[in-house]
Amino acid sequence: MTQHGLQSGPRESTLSILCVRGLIAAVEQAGVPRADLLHAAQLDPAQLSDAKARMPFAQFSRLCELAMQLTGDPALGLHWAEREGAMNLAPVTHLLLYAQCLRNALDAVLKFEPLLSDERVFQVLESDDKVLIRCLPLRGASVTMQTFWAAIGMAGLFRLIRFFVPDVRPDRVAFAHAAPAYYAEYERFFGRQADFQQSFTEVVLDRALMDTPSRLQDDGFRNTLHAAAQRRAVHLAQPSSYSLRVREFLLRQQRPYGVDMKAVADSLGVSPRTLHRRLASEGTSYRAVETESLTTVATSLLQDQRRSIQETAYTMGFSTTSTFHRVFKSWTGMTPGEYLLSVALEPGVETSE
Amino acid sequence: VSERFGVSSSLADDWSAALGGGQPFGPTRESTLSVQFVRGLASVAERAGVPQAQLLSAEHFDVRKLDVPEARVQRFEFYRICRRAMDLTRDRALGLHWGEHHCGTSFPPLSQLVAYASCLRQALETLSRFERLLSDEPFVQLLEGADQVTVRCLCLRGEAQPVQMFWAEMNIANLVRLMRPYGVHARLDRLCFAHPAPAHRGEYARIFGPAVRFDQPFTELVFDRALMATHSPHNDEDIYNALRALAERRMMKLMEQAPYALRARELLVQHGWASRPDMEAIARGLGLSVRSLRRHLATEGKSYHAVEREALATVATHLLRDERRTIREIASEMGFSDKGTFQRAFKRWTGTTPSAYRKGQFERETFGA
Repeated sequence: MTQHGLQSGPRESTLSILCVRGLIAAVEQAGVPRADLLHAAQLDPAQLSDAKARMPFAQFSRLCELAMQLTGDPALGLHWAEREGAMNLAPVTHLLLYAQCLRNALDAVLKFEPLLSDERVFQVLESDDKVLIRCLPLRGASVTMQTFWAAIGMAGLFRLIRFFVPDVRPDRVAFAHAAPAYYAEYERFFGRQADFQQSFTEVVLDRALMDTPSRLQDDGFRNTLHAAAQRRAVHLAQPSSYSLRVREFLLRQQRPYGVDMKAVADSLGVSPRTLHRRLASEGTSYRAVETESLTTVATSLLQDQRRSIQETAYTMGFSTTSTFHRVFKSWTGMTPGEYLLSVALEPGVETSE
Repeated sequence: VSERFGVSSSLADDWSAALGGGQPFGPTRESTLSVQFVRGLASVAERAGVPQAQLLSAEHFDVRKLDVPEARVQRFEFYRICRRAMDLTRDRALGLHWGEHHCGTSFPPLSQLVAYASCLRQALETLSRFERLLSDEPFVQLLEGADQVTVRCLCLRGEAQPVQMFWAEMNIANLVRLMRPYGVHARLDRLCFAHPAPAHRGEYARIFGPAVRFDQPFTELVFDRALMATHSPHNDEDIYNALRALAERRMMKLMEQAPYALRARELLVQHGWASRPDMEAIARGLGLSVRSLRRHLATEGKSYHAVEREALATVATHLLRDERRTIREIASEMGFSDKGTFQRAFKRWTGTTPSAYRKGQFERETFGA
């Protein structure tokens, strides 16, 4: 039996569609109509509507580079993070602003950053009197994208710190990449000189600041969002959620053979195109999931000895037994009869009583 | 003519009399607001250079109260802090600047519910459903006409001019900010203020654009009804539902602490007037005997009669605000046998006719500057 979906290797890294929404809003803010960016990137607006959707990093990188070209703003990463409301990465943002203190906020960043990005983004190191918050490099990205990524990460982080400590004076603001032509923008934003071409992209602060409480205290609100974030993280941890859902849907059908893919997509609340894309980002395809699910249905029906092969074919939705024979053989390399024989001969297989 | 209404003429007379001195549904100064108003004000003042501690200690406000999200403050207390904040910051447009900079986080979970709703209609309905979390008395009205929607902010009768203006500026600026994800700010037909143009009118133009008008009968914003179907770019159903459940729990808790008069009125309004429960059922609903309900109301300075009258007014005026409903429909919904009886009764209680009320005559008298 073919092991579908395993050949494509590990799943491609993705990030939350919320980041994409934020980028599009930043581009719009810079005076470029959103339709222009979507068109240039050949992006379907429907793809943006599901808050839980993800986008592969490679696609996001292309989108960022397009955004910089269209706005003509190489410092777009900084300007994006600086904008009011730019941090609307629900529910993570609110969890941070309503954390009891800055330390708890940074803990929440580390705990829930997988909701926003498969790649690790931050690292926090506390020493006796200092705290280092590091923005990790993006694997395999271009120099432009590295610079852009560092700008969003550092500026977003700095806004969070400033929310807790409005007049914060960091001991150090460092970037791994070279100083860009617009380095003055960095100095303006961080309120001090930034060092470039350093070993790490990081902010260094006085450790005592970690205990600064948030001025927004609301336990009920925070707990509600925390629970929502946990649920989402669990959902995300299921590696092939769309393939599982397609499979569950097919297994529930009366006559699963010949079920229209559109009907499956409708039942999951996405367009067929989106479903194709989601499955592709999970490293599989509709065809593969369908074959695997229908094989499961067929073999379990065949093993029920009260049912003939003909009845199995009919139950599955095949019009003739010969079609069933042909299709079953294409799935498993065996005819239904050969399959039953192989099960009967296989040693150690538990058979139903 | 049969009146299922059961309102005696003496009650109607009481009601007309009450209009002179009492305030049937305008905000009273003793009614409370969420402490979130003080927290938001303190942070906008701090942004303008006045430390939170300085502002709040000047008004003897206990800072620790800010960390209790469900705490309440009396309206007049908040008004005092507003005036102090305007004095200390020397910013006459402080209310406008609040909405401009702070709204996204000022009122959890309501601000977030509005942002994560599926469409503007759901956002505004959520806002009016949970308005009480922010204020005991309604302060925002939603009026849906055939082509346009009006979001009206009720004025503060009898308060000093700067406080009235601050309240209007703050509410309108916050509303515009809240509805920003739905694109309302760019498509306002009118943005009206009941007060005259102040010296800082330039700030209005900068923040709101050309739709601003002063010296209008109401403080309100008006936009195309088609916008009600606009989707939020932040829509997130799970988070919306989780926060809505939190808001529901807070509403229940709030109602348990509210004065008995308010809770009784709420129960009456919820049931609709035509099928309203009697006093015994209301008492049962509040977990009391009729006798103790009467006693509690007496200590609050209200009679059950007065509570019924307020509920009646609330129901009638609420129904009248939906301009798609005819007066005939409203009359029958409230249990009147015909339109004329309703009109006469309404005139008796309020001194004005339903259609005149709708045109705003009555409200201008009640809430106008």
